[in-house]
Amino acid sequence: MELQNELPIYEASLGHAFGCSVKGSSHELNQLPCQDAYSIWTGAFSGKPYIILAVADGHGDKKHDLSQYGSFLAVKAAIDEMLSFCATFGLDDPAVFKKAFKSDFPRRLCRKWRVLVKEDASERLKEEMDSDEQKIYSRYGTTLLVAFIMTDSILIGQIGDGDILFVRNDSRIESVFDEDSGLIGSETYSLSSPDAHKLLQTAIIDRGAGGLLILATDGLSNAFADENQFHVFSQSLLDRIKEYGMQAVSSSIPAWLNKYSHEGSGDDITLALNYIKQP
Amino acid sequence: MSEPIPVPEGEVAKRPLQFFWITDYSGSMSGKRIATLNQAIRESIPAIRKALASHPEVEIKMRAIKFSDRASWHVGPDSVSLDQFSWSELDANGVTATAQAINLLASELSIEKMPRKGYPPVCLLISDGFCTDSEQEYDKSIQTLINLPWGKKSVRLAIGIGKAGEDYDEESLLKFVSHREIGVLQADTPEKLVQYIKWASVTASVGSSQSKSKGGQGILDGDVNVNLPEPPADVVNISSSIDVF
Repeated sequence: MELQNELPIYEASLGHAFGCSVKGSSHELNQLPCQDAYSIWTGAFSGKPYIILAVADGHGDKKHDLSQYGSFLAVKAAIDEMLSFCATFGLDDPAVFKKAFKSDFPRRLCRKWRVLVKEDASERLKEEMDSDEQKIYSRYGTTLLVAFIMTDSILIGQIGDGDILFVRNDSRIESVFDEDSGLIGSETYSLSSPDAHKLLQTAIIDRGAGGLLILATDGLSNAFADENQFHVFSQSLLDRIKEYGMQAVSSSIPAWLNKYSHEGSGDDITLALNYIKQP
Repeated sequence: MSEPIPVPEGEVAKRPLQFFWITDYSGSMSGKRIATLNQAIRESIPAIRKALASHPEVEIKMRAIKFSDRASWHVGPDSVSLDQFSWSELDANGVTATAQAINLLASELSIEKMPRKGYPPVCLLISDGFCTDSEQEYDKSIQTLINLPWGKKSVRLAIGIGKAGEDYDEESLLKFVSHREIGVLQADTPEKLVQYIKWASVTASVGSSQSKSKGGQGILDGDVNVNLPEPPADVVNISSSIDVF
């Protein structure tokens, strides 16, 4: 069952999931498309439920002129590859699945994205297709954040900028990956990099007593004064969900994201959430 | 109808773009040169504001370093927003301590003092003279600057006032410049100085606000993360003005 809409979905043992993209205010002014993409997928394998969240941010400047398609293909590749993992390794033995995720997911995901890009480019570019494959990948350049939520843990992958946070039910915040100290400003790693599989980080976190999993493109955190204020927002978002419910909060999120883009970053913003129930 | 849900907490802010004027006010700048510089910088402010109207997400934070016998803050060290920036007259005297000015600039571009998620800083150096600090000191100041992550990523342009070789040392100013294809902008007339100051300040600000450097480790884009157009031909071609410096 594929779900990509603006209503939260609900899975009995994993909680609510929701996603939303808004076009950046500077993209509106400069007549640029939204270059973000997201996808949410829920299902079960061998009777074990899962939710997949994927978020991507196309790089968006002239060198990456097809990046809105690149981000769409990135979230598609992430969902496809996670489903392929389920089929190959099953969920019966979580330890095997997790080990395979850490060791094989980056390489397989990057390969899948490249296959999808080549297919898309052959249709889209036709005779303008460049013989230099790396140049084609670069035109589709994008980041990717992905989370595979299981009953006991969350498998996470990330390449490039953006934020993955887990706000525990007691309001403690876990930033899954540290910021790369070698990158400043708008710099980011990219799925289009020749060695993208080495730059794609993976992590596995314990669901513990549940909480709010946040995947967001950098347009969201860049709208806040600093990292601390972004954390304040994240904790406050969990509080709103607890007080008003996911259904009501999800209907408010598009307007909030528009506000953050207009008053802050100016960038496209994509947010995918999973409010994880206490197991 | 139910009450709207309060927006989550967290202070929202625009992304800062740090802009540094680095201006020579040595004795040789006296008269028309310093008067033109004062006027041109004032006229650049509304031009920058207008050019960035389509980038409301950018908040320019401006500072100015002046140098003659020594370098000091003309506006700073705390930066001010474009709306609050005002340029008070500089009066020319003394020698040309360019290396000290670059060292002062570098001291503000450390990772600790710069917002990590800001835009590449813009640094516009304007001088009409040979640096009176030693060559070794000058080269060391340039090295210090470009060894800093934000120094390396900054957009650094230089305007030489007068004639290259006679008034200023083009080779030495070129060491400061981040975009070698643009080189040192030669302002040998008041008109050129006004136009170059406007062009450089506006172009660098717009270029920085549109900067993207994807791939990390220079994988895709190399070291230059801000693309700038060539200086306009109508400025370059003003060559026969009667009113020369």
